[in-house]
Amino acid sequence: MKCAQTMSGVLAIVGLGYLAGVGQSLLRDKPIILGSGATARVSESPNPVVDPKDTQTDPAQDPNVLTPTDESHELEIPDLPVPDGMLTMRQAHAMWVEGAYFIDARHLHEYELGHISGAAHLNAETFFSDAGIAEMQTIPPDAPVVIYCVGGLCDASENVLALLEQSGYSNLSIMGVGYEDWENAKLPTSLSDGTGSGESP
Amino acid sequence: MSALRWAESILIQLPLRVGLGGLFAFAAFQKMNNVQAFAFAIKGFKVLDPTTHGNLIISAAYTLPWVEMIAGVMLIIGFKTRASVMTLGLMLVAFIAALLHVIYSPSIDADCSCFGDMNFICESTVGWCQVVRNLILLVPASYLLIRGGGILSLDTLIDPCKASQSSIHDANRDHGLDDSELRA
Repeated sequence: MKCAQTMSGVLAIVGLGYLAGVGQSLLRDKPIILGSGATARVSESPNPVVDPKDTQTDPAQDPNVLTPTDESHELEIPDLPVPDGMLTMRQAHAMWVEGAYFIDARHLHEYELGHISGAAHLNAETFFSDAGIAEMQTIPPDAPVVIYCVGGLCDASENVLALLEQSGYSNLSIMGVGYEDWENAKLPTSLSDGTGSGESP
Repeated sequence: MSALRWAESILIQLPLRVGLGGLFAFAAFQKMNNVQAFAFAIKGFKVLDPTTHGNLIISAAYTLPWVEMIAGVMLIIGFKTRASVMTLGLMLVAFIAALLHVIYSPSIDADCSCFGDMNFICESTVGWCQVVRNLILLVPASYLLIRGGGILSLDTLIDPCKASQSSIHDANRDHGLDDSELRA
């Protein structure tokens, strides 16, 4: 008898929670998105950013590719494999040189330990915060934006891409490799206090 | 023995209720503040396929924090204590199962988001720390499920007979009588 009362109480709590959740969803102005299929979105982007052939023809003659002969950098950028539809490190670096906006979608403490030089911090947790909104106001909706996280299986970039897309941004790309790969390639990075191994483009 | 029940209620049951209920209410509040991020977190566990069960993920993102909040507040005030602690216990078991699913799937690298964007004891990335933490939380939950909310709870205020019956039961036990003897 007591057990039945307890279980009916559990069902009542769950039912009440469901009703409250429905009420909250009705009050929300923007629908919840899950952002699956970001890869397809990247490839469907109206302004595809960089043709891989451009950066793979002759690295020595391409000013966007850092070669061992480059005075400021010593290593050639490795072309690590990335999932379909995502930018390779070379492509992302070419966009960085051209002045594309970079967004770091990792956790804030990871961003503070080091990020791509000039990158802003924005992820699903901070997207609707004052800092996130202020960050977004600095990026024009049609500007090229490259989003990165830890690479590989990281969902954070895909989530931020979906949120930015919902907010009206159209020229979005995901860098298929992670921050560590960028750092290992000795490409420009910064700390949150502005110091780092490189300068903003 | 009644003094012992008071002591148990003040020193054990009330702190456990407030601690456990408060923890869940706080976690729920953090999730409610950013339902979108919590929906992404549920998706990240890859228990449900977002292309086929997207609506279920979104429903869970809205419902789970409210269930946590309602059960947590009910536990703090001691209203329907056993039902609320049973709800939280079942949620803990479900969370442990989901965490184990992520841990044993090498292709999944998910964030817990158990307390929104805050970390409590463990780091954000899913690991054994969260499993152990939830197992530890099951201990006070089990205690409250067995012993109830104690004298200082709304349950006792609404139905004082419960407390007095418990006191009589304890007094009889002191005198070597059990319930079957009393009924006889």
